[in-house]
Amino acid sequence: MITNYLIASPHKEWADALSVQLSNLGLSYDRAFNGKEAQALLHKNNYSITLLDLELKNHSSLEILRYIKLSKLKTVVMFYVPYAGILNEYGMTLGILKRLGIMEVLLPTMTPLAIIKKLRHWSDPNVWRHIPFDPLKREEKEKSLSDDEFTKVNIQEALELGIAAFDHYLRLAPDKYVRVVHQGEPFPVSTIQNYINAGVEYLYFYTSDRLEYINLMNELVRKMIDASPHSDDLIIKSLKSVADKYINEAYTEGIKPSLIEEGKSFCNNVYSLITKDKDLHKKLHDMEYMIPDLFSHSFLVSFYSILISKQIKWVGKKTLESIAIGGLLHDIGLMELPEELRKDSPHHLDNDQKIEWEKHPLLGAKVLQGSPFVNEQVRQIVYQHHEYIDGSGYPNSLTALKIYPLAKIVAVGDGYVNKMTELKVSPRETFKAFLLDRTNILKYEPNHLRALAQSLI
Amino acid sequence: MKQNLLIIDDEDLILHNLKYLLKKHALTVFTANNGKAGLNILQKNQIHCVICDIFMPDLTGVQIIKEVRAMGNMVPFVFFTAHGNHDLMLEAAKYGAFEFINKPYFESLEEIIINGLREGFERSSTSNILTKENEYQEILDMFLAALKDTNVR
Repeated sequence: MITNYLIASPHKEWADALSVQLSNLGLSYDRAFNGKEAQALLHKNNYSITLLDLELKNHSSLEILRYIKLSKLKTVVMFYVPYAGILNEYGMTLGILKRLGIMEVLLPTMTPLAIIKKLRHWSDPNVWRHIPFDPLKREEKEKSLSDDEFTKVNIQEALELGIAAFDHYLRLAPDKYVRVVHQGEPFPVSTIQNYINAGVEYLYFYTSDRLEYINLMNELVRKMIDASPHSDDLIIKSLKSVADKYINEAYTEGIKPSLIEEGKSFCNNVYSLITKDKDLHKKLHDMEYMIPDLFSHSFLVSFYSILISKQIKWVGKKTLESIAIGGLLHDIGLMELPEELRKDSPHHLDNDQKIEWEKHPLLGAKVLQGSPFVNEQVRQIVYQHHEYIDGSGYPNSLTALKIYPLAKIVAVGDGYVNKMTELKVSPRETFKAFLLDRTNILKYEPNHLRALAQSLI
Repeated sequence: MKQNLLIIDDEDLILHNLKYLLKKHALTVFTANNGKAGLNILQKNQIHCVICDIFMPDLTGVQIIKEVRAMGNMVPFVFFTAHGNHDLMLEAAKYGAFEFINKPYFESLEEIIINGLREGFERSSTSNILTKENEYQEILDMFLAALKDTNVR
């Protein structure tokens, strides 16, 4: 991924401040002071992100935007506006801006570092590689901060990271946190061990750092898989952690190109792990995190869908990535339902609740429609993952030849994981029960069942 | 064995370029620059895969696939997608869209068309429920035998 930026703004002070910070972080950028210069640079170079100042002259920002859309340039566009209210004055909402292709609006109140964080989210979340640690900033002060701003991470997993890519906090009470590890600092092993001995299970970090966390974990898992020998237990836990955070990030922050790339990294990691360890699936059942919750379920569905796909000759790399991401996101529509309906199966719901629950594939497809970075393959997997070849599925009761092929694979993964969760037996015993249920297996393509059988033998 | 491909798109340049790129994968590549011409070709020839644009002046891709399915023809359809026509894609899915290719990037185009032609060929041979029943039994027998082997070992 190319990670350089174009800053097109006549506001010298603002652009200078941003440029200095970009230089400090070793990031490359170009400057344009008017629209004509911006267009010339866009014609000559590829930029991952283009920042357009709304007050650009000599070709306005909207003319430059039009040029970008007509030339089909692969650059993410962000607008810098002089004040927040200006959008209302023009009758523009964020929804309209997104449809025009403007992904973020930057305000003068944002610090250069906050802007750079947004830039990195869209282009390359590897910012953790460049973070310097300043020992003079070390402090431990209790702060009143809202629980909503934080994401938790298992303390053992956090320790595996080695160096803190961002601040980590201990939660003392609801809305009360104290920073215990500083950005750029090596994790203090003995201190963390003391916390573990005292019964602490989780550390916390700002939710706005979650994408960096996903990137970091994917990178770490890749290294762990390459290492020989390696601990499957730890790798699987880390992959599950990535999957959990991925789904939350997708739903709450939207799907950005960098999140798609992280989905591909997740897919590559699972694929590498399956290829290296043929008996991996046997170990999964023994692991404690086979607890049925939405996020574990999505991780396992993605995992088994990749396992099935590996046996199918016509599944190429790009298709496999779509299956992996589709598996992770297949139940994202459940997040649009009331909390009591957010289960991965409708067994304990009454009729009215079941009708609502069965809307989740369409709701999921609609959620993903909001992101131009999600491809149609993933959207259709989410939309059709409950269609079955015997016509008993929903939302459209499609039959075999009409169902999107990749959705049929994820449907098997989904059905199988649900069975495993219900029976709480080993993967092989689950599959045996799956096959013996004649009404059930008529929902799935024989070649996909054969592929799963071959993976489990 | 090579099969027949049909490309329906109102942009002649796309028709020309795709035909050039894909001719090595198909026996014959038919082209049509509007929906009605495409339907005409489908009625007169055995087509194993259709690449179809979603937005065209006379008929949309959804209208075309709807008519093709009404004729009892289950040929795989690969649709060109672009940002902004999501609802049409969901609609197309109801009639059995086989795959989607994002314009203007055309990622994995050849892989998708090869799969589409293969699928179209397989669909043109009948596969009845009885055959599938045999397959399910075969898979169960194979798996149980493998489990037994593992337990014995």
